[in-house]
Amino acid sequence: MRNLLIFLQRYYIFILFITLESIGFSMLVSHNNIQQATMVNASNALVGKFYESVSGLTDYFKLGQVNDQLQQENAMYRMGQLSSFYDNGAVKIVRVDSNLGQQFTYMAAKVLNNSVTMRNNYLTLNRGSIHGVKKQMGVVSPSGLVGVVMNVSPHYCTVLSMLNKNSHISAKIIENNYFGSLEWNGDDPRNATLKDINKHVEVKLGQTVVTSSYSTVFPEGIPIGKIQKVGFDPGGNFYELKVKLSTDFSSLSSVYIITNLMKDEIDLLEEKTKGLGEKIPSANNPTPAKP
Amino acid sequence: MIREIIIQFVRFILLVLGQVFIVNNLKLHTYFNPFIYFLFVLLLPVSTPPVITLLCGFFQGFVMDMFMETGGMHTMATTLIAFIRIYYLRYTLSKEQMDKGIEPVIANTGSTWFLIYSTCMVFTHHFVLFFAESFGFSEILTTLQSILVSGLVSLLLLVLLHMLFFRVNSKEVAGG
Repeated sequence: MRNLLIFLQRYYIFILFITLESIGFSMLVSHNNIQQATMVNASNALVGKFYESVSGLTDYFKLGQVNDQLQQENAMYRMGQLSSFYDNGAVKIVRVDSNLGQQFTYMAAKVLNNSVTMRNNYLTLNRGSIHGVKKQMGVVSPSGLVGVVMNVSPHYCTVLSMLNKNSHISAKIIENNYFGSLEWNGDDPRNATLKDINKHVEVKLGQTVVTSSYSTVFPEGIPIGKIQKVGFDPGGNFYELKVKLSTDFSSLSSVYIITNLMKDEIDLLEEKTKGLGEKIPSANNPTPAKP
Repeated sequence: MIREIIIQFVRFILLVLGQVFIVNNLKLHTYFNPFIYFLFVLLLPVSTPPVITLLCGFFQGFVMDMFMETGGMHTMATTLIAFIRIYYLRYTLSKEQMDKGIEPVIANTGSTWFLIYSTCMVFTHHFVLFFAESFGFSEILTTLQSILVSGLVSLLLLVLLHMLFFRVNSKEVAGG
């Protein structure tokens, strides 16, 4: 016992240091595990307040740009209005249809904090669980894709930006419908890389990349960017396409959070199917019948 | 004593706010992420008990992690430099300076000592920080590049900041 006390007295600095470092490391590990990033979540409300008050100030400098964007959007919606369609006589354009159920709803949100220069970037938005925001909701800007909601507190949420090591987005080339995975390699916030598209597909510069229909987070066809450079992966079997992003991350100020009203249903169904597949593996590989 | 604590507390708050709302908004390039907030840990008085130094480092890293949504990166990096600082000061400063409990600033220790001290601390901090950020060695060249570029810029900013707020002309000859 006495030896233990002497030992503690002698090395208490080192022991404390190791303890604190391990706390830091476990925080880091749980943070990299996106599904359960809880440590930082608890503090969101406090930090969010800070960011909100400063954002209130800096937003004034971006007003001109935001106005332009809003005007463009308004123009687009005006184009969609009934009054801007030419009446083709017998054909009547009906916008509200009982055949079309609403699947995606949009909620406007303000960007309180945003980074683009780190290897892993995040955004903070001024919408939280009291507004109905949940984890894994999509976030888009007027010009294109932004990211996926990661943590939610009552009044704020943090978003895993597309400019993050952990971001993998299912995307397709609109001209030929081939899909791949969009990742960010960390050097330039204006570009991302589209991977996993087979080499036999014909790809041209300037083709448009949009979200694919395979994701339950984003609706199909949200613009992501345009192909800027064609390259190949080290193995040489797949393309590595450099995509110029349509969202300007360094000047983001207003975004939309997308709710997929049918996400739970799809997820539940897929989970059920997966579970079934694991239970009866023989269903996939039936043993050959003996002659 | 109370006055000293208040000064350190104000310095802490100002550095955190300066880092989060000014330096983080520079956004010049991907390799260019200077950090200045840990100047607080560097400038704690020499006589600060080791336990307090460690806890200060830990707490500041934790606050930065909360602001920047970075998990434990800053906590790990800042705790480490707080730990190294304890031994660095013990071996490089003279007994008198340690007993007097000076602040490790240029006016007290001389510019050479301060430059070597801050260079060691900045690069240790950035090394841990950027490797924790990439969380692996798969992007080692990019990471090293970030460490070098950001480290040099941080060092420059730290020294400038230090010169803004402290007297530089030394009263006594540099020691250690």
